[in-house]
Amino acid sequence: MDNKRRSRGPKRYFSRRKKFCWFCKNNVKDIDYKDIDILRRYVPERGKIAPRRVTGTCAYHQRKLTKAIKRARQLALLPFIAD
Amino acid sequence: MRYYETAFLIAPTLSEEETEQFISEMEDVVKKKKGRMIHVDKWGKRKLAYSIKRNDSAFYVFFYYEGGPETYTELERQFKQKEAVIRYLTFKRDEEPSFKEKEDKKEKKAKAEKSLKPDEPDEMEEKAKPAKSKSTKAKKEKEGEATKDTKEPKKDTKEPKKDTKEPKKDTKEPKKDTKAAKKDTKAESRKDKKEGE
Repeated sequence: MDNKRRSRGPKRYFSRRKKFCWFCKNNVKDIDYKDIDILRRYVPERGKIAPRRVTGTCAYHQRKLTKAIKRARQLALLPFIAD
Repeated sequence: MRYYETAFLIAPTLSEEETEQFISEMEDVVKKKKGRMIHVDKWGKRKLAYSIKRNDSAFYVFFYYEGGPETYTELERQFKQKEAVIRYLTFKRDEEPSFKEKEDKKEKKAKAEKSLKPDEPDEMEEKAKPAKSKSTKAKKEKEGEATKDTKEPKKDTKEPKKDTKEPKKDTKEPKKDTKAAKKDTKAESRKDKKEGE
């Protein structure tokens, strides 16, 4: 089976590492807006919230994350825009 | 009754005494309005991610309390009147916030930072371990050589080098000595054989 699958489609030269949800892995229930060190990981240079497809966060935690980041922005813990 | 969390930023124009006084006043407001103060978190002066009302830094304070709607509305009314409060936000909380865990974490962090210095010798030990493994490898190599020696007696010339290595690894001296002795005997026996041939 594997061989047949491989013959279909373009040849893959390297296997991508599978993304995982950091919060699920660490059993985080609520994401606090005060944990700026954690939130920073999901806010790249420009200050935008990183999409799920980039970070691999699950839908449940992405919802909590966006809320936490937006709260942190209101309290000037994180920037709305950074350049 | 509900659990609330109110965060507010005090402008750095106030002196330390004034900020402390203001915070205690706000605590009294919570108590007057049938609120129960659970915890007060003061982060101190912090740089802002962006300037608010031309302030680049602010004093961060977090109130955790239990109370009705009148407690937080009164708090926010007070904040509005005071110009020193740059920003405030109130959140509802479903569960009673627990602070023991957080404090434990902080303590652990502090301990970890403190233990960093005494950790250095541990690193040394870690370094020493691979060295030991290397020595075991060397041992194996020597054993391999010993087996080779049985095949080729010409490698007797390597023996003096091994002798120089031995004093470094004190613990393994006796074993090596026996091996070396074995090698010697074997090599000699073979030499004898060759000579005999």
